[in-house]
Amino acid sequence: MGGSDNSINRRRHSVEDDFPPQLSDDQFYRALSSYHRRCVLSYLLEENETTVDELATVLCGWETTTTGTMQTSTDHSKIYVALVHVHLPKLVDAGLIEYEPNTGSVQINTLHPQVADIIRQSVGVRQSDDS
Amino acid sequence: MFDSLIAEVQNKDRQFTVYRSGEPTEIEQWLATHGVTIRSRSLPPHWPKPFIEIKANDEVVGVIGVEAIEALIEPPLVTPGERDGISEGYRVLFDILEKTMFSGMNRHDLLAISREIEDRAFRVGNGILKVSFQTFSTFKSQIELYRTLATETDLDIHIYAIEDWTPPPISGITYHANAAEQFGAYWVLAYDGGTDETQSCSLVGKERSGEFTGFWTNNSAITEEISKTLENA
Repeated sequence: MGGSDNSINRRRHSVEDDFPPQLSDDQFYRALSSYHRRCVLSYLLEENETTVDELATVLCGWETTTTGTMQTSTDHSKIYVALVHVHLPKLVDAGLIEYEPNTGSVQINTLHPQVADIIRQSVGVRQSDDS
Repeated sequence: MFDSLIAEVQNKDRQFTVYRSGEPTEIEQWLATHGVTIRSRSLPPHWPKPFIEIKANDEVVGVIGVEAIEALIEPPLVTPGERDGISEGYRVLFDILEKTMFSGMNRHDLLAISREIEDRAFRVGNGILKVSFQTFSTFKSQIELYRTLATETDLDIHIYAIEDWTPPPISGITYHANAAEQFGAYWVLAYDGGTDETQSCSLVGKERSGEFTGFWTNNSAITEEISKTLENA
């Protein structure tokens, strides 16, 4: 993990370059392979900073407006747990966000405008039901 | 007397947050009239539909789309009488949907709501209607209406008021002057719906400097509670 962190740090510093470095990074595509993670990124692009609790609510909100069914406290907890144990670590590994487990604070890193566009477009139309 | 009922509606520890990308939704105004304070958070513009998070005691108990709530409040509002099988989120929501809060209302406003309840009792034509008039001289102006209610229906009508005037005996109407002292500040109507419980409804208003604060509801359990409070005084 140390090696990939270094390469991401180098790439983050080259945000002004024409070619967004994330686009040639496998971790980036793995991070984007989940619909829930794309939603998280899309939300963070607008809000910059939020909490795990709020992210769980936002994902529940997407679910409830799609299905028409109220999301219960159990649904919310399940999404919360998935965020903490699966989604957020993957986004951290890809160098896209910072997550502080003690406070639950989640922050987006500075992203190349082209990368941000891809993320925005990736939630525009729901392609599959993965999560 | 009825303060706990009014306070219960106002002070429940629940927080509503609407997430939306555009202008305030109508439901926010609607919830405000039901005594709900609602915060708002912004959603990215391409996120399609607004939704509301419901928290009770700082725990998320439900997340529901604004459209789904709007569908729920389309009249007639039908809420399950039995609450055991439904999730906490719906419980909190129904609790709110069933009580319409008001404050700063005047006598004219309350009279309009009272008419609706009296009309309903008249249309069903049976059951028990209890009314706290504050004083009998207030009842005086309504006496012809209540004479009609009592004589043209099988309604069992109970009037609670402080005796500053002696009302004429009317068949079907029972007067309660003794217990009325403690109701002096309250404008209350409670109709049990008679043979049609879905028609039950009630109104509780507390007067302060000519303005009323309180709620009205179609919920039969709350109506029964109000009715018992009048009866047991």
